[in-house]
Amino acid sequence: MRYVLLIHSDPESWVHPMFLPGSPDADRCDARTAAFDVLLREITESGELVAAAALADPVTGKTVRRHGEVALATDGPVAPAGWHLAGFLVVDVDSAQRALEVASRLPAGDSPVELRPVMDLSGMEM
Amino acid sequence: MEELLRGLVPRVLGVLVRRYGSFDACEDAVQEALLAAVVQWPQQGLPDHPMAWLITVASRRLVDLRRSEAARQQRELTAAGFVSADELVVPGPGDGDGGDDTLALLLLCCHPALSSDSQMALTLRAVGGLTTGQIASAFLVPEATMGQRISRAKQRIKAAGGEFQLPAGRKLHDRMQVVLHVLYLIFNEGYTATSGTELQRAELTGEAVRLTRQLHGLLSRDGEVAGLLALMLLTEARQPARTGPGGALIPLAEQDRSRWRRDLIAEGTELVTRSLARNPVGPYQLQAAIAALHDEADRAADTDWPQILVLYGLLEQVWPNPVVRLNRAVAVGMVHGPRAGLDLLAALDGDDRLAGGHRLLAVRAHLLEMAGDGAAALAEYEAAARRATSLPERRYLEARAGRLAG
Repeated sequence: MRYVLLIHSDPESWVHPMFLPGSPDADRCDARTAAFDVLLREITESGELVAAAALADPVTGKTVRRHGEVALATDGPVAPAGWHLAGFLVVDVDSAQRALEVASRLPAGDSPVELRPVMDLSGMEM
Repeated sequence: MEELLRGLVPRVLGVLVRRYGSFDACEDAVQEALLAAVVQWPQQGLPDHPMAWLITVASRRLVDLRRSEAARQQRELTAAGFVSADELVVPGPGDGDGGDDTLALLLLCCHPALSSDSQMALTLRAVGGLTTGQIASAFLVPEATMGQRISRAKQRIKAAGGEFQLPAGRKLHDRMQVVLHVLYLIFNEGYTATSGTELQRAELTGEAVRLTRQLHGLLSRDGEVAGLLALMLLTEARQPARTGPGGALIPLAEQDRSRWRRDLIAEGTELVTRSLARNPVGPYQLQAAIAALHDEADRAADTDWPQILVLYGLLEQVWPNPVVRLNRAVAVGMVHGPRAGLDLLAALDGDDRLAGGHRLLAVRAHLLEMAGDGAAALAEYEAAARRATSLPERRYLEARAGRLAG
């Protein structure tokens, strides 16, 4: 079963929850990075990790909208308010419970991690 | 040539593991020998003793692997290509005909310490002779991910003390259940595919059938092995009719039955009939018998539902689980009317194993539609569609809802 783990971040002060860049609390930052490394190594070696990426600050992004035949790009995220996506992992695991376990171990601080099943292209007739 | 090679894989690997131990390293060596064969045989012609050739090349590779592991100077490996007839390692008298080896390998690959994804991957590689790349594309994951999964699986087996030998009695029986389940999962993984990747997925059903057939050849008196093979054949028989344009799922009742594969139906029906006559019933045989009853009906209306209901009753006794109960509710609905089916479903409402999923909602929608309660059916179909995590199943449920809404 495949899941995407979406790591959200604080809309007020964009801070990457996993790395706390520029945080005055360097020890806490190191601890998170180390914990993340352990988890990442574990799910890589087990063959559960399919893809992962940390995303740059939403101010660096663009949003493309199509208006008929014309695509127009504007600076910034789709919705200016609300939680932003800070990063994601795609995992292929044996059970929903295991996906939950990986999500719970992501050292994302106060930032919520959203867990969504990926649609399967296979299906059984009924 | 590929067929010949794949058939030899478990036998070559069996010989190597018994001779040198270390399933992990032997398995890698056999993969390398296979690659060498794929490159060299078309150029140099088929060797007189293909199996001996593979054993020789794999043994050398194994020696090389061990040397490099010991941090010795790595030898050039090109020598693998030049095997003269007099240096071939001919299988000895202790090497048997490979039957027990294949079985022992299957048991090892389906070791209970592994996740089912890993069991499938390792079985396809070590017993089926597929490459990591082929397995990765069939399961739609990057090759590196699949490579990790396979090497981790081998480490796990080692750590769990998995041995290359046949356990006895009850233990063999229990481990065989895992093997059958893994083969069934591999089959299903291929069968349920509906789009783009069909070619690689067909390889999975083909491989599952081939391995199960091989197992049936070794254990012809095992009723459940025969049952599983029959179930696969009787299911695969409907493959040409199960999807429409764009991969849309067509329900059993609406399939064009003239497209069903008569040859597979005949073979599967005969297998399960013979098996049920002389073996204690088991889940695979019962599922195969149910599939045979569906396959034998020329029109959906001719389906022998009373007999199917009896079989689901038996199946629930030997293998009680909520999915069987759901299917039995459908059969009850067909025999005693939709309200009786709905009554049976009510008992499943609190079942954790179905909670949050779409299956219970979909079956209830279907029974409500049969009962003529369009509004309630529509609501259940819509709720089921939102819960489905399979794209084609979601589309099917949306289409059913659309029919009722329109």
